[in-house]
Amino acid sequence: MTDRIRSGQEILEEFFTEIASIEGVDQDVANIVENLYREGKLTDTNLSNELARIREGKTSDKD
Amino acid sequence: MIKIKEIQISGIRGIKKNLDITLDSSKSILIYGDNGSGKSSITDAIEWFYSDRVEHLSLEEIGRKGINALRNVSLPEDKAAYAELRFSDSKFDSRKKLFYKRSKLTSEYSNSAEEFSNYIDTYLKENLILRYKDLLKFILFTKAEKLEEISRIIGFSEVTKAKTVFKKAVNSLKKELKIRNVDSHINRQQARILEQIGQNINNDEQYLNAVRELVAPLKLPAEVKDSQSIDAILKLIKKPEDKEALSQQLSYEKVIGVINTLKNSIENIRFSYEKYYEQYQTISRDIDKFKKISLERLLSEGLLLLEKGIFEDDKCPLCLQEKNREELIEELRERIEELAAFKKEKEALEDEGKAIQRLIQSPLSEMEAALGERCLLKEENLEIKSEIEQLKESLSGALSRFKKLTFIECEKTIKPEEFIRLDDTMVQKIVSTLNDKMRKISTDRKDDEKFTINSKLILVKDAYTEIKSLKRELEIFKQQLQSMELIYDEFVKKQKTALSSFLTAISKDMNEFYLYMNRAEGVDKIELIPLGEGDELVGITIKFKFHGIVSPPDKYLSESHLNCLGICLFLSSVKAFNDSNKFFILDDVISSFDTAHRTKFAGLLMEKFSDYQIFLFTHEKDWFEYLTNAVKGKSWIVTKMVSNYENGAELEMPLFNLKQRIENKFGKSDASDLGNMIRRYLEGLLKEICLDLEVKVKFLYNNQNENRMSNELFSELKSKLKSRKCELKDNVVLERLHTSIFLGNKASHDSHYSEDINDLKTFYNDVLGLEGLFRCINKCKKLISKKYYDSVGKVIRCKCGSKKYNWEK
Repeated sequence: MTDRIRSGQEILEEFFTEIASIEGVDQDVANIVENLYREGKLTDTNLSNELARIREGKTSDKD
Repeated sequence: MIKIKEIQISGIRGIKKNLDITLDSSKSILIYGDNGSGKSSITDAIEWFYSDRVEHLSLEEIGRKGINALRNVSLPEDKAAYAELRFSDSKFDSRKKLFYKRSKLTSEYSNSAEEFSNYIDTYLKENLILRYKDLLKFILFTKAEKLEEISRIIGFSEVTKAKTVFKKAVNSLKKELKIRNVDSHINRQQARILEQIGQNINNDEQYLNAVRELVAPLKLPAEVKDSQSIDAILKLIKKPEDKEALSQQLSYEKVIGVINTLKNSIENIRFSYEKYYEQYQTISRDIDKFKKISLERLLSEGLLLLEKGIFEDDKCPLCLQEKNREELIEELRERIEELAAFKKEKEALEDEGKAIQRLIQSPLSEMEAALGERCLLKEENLEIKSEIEQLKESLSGALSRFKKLTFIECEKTIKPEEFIRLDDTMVQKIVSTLNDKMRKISTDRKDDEKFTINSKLILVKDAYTEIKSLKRELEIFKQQLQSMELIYDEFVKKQKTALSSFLTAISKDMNEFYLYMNRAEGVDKIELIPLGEGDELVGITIKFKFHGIVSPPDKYLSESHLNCLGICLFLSSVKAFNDSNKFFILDDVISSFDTAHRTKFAGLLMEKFSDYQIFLFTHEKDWFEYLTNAVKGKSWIVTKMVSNYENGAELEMPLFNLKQRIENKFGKSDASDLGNMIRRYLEGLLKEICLDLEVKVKFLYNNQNENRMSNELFSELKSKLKSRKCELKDNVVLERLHTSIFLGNKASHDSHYSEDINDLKTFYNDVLGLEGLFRCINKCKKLISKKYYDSVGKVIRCKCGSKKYNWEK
């Protein structure tokens, strides 16, 4: 076995480091996903709440 | 990478006294021992040292992940059991103690450094131990279990968790979008605008133009440029006496809007419920399978009993009917997998159910708000209010009926046409009445142009502001949904690529190792293959070619070959994942192999794993002897393990090494375990003397024969010396030793006896005195032996003849 196998942790690290550069992804969304991961709080409830918070913030900004 | 230099174990499982395995410069070790000799106690101690659990003891009856069964049964409560490991990198050296603290079993490491704690955590990611009973585990796992196990090893469970979070976020955004029903709300606002000015407004320009047109007849001194200027115009045309009427109009508008949207909301609910009902019916047709979901725990417990070998008969452990054990295990796995699929189906339906509840809740909340509107507080509108309350009741009734639905009572299912009823006539009547009342406010002031324009302007402005807000909300929703879908897709791609590269690499090694041990047996191309349903990875399967036919391994391979595959998988994962530790333990893993496969396995270890430190335990004598020969001249220690009730499991150590260790302890004035070591030295010495002098003792079976005590041997030796009229029979050293043996036994067996270094020195000197009587110390270093018996002179001597005694026939 010559190629080093990447662990799950390494795959996650790599993905979240690159998440903001995925084409078409809103930067606010990328940032909250990455932040939740870094804080060890990436759960569906936390993510849904954060997305709702962004929506609320953006809607009231325009008003 | 880390290797082990020394292991000390005391009071763990079969090991009573201090068992010290010194591995010099981290040599590999081969240990032979009968079943029950304590080999696995070493494995248990090491597993506990790293993981704070012992997997094969982790049964409900034992509790605490097997730790309750870890201490040796005869260990007094006030004494700590321990496992101490010293490594090639000394910063990780530590003793782990297991002791009672306020009647609670507690464990504690002597090394508290963070670096050590991080090192211990690596155990979870590495493969250090393989036991015989775990060999087939992976091979016979279901596809889903294989995926779970591999995911655990490579830390993929975290990856899978993240993927689930993303998927749920996408689904939740889709559901939220549906529940919010934004399009319908926009249409409602457009209808309000249409009602007022007879046209739709889709952008700011249209809005400003419409307002300009509306206020033109008033010939106001202000220009309509933007939304602020519209506010200024409203200020210009407002009259204090119109305030109440305008507010009532706005209030009517709101209630009419809610009632108008109700139809659309109900259609949405019905549509979702019809889909739900269809799925519900499918499930109801086979309701028994869902009732069986609750059996999953029972079946899993049963499987665990069989897998751990707690129940080994060819019977069902529950009903005791005759059943082949292997077939039963296979059947249980299939049933558990089937139940897991049912459970998933049920959970998906439950999620749908929650979405329907929210779909109902949304218009319900709007109606509650509408019922508080000021127009409905008027006495003249009490009847309408009551009708609206009836409509609300039909929604809340549906919600409450829906909440009561269960899978078990499927006969209570509500048909879609009966689920939610909206009295259209009543709706029309309410809307028509409210419209009339609202229009009446304008009609009553039809000659008041300023009022009419003001009223229209307020309503149009309110509706358009709402449209803009809804459109913005929709745009943000769609942007988030698109982003989360892209994130999910990218993540799935990454996960698949990583898993596939891992499986390819591990398959390559597994194939190589297996073929090394099973050449020319028609097996080839062993592969671990991921299985997916859409974006979901649902399992991993093992495939191989058997005489050109692709098949799963358990179809054609014998138990021995399946075991071999299990070993190859373990060894492949050692190479793939063990980044910190360069050692592994194979605890009695070759029992089912024939001689040819055993020798090939030895070759595989020596050839492909020569840079690893291997702990190889076996109870197979022939295999042990073969390996002893195979590792000669290599960096290996070969030893045996024995056990008896008095002393527990002990490592047989060459007397020379034991003597060196005893003398080192005296040099350091370290009395711990010294009495036991001297006793073992004396036993070993007496065994050698008795063997050479053909001293006969009573017959005992194998293991018991090995465990003879010093006083039994000593007593028979003295009888022999007496019967042969040997001058040693009355030697004072023998007399002294008689007392010392008592002391040695006391030090070894009595836990309350505290060893005194001076007493031990006396004991040891007596043992050396005994050795001096029988061994040639100066020249050949051999014991006097029957091999060198002079039958003419009736003398027995050592090899060189320097030491000789009378030996009458």
